[in-house]
Amino acid sequence: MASVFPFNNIKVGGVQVVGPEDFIYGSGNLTLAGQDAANTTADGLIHNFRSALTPSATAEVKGDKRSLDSGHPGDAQPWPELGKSLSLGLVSARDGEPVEIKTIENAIISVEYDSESNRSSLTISGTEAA
Amino acid sequence: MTNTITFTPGTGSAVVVTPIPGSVKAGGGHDDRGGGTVPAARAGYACNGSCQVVVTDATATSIQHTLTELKSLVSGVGEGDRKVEGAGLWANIKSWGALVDVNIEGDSVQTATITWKGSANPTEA
Repeated sequence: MASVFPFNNIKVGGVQVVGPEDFIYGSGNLTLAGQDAANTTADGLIHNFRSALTPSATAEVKGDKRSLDSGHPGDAQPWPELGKSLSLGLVSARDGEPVEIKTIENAIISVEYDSESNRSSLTISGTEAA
Repeated sequence: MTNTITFTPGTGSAVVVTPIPGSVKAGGGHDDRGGGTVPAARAGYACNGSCQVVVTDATATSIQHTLTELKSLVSGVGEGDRKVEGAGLWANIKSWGALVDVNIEGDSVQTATITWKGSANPTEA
């Protein structure tokens, strides 16, 4: 059993932006959910409906990673920036290749850096491929 | 008798999970109307709940579940179609037409929280 499930590697557009050496142990969190609505019919039954899949993930990484923020002024891409395909992977052995855990399409990354702990909190939200 | 919860989609294979003891929750989420100065009414009766399971990246066992199994639990776009039915300790867990979400956490022991929101179904109960 890997001790860093569900992921410890992030690739954006196929390029690794965060690896195990940056991840805070055990901080990864992957949520597979959707955009839902409900209709209650006159027979007392609730009919739940999912209009979109909206996977999201959070993680903490070491150091100031605000440059990973979508639409970061340092990027070549001008504002506003469209979400990109992002891959969450798991590297289960030192210097190993990441195994893909989940791909999130149209992903937006938000980063908040805390100088007291020298950690950045990453929040990733996006959609599933149609 | 095993203490399991079975998630059966409208089409495809059922997934049987073994919840971590003490992690099963059920109830709430009903469609209530009125209240306050207006007489209250319960328009729809929900059968919602959640449980936690242990995740493994190795071979699935009856009490450890792989990422593939957990991903297959997640409802796709459209009407909720999962039937949720418990056995053993969880025999009182039942839900129909449910949407299922999965949240996978890290730390040292990997767990996933499975959440379902469905309806009562008097014709099948």
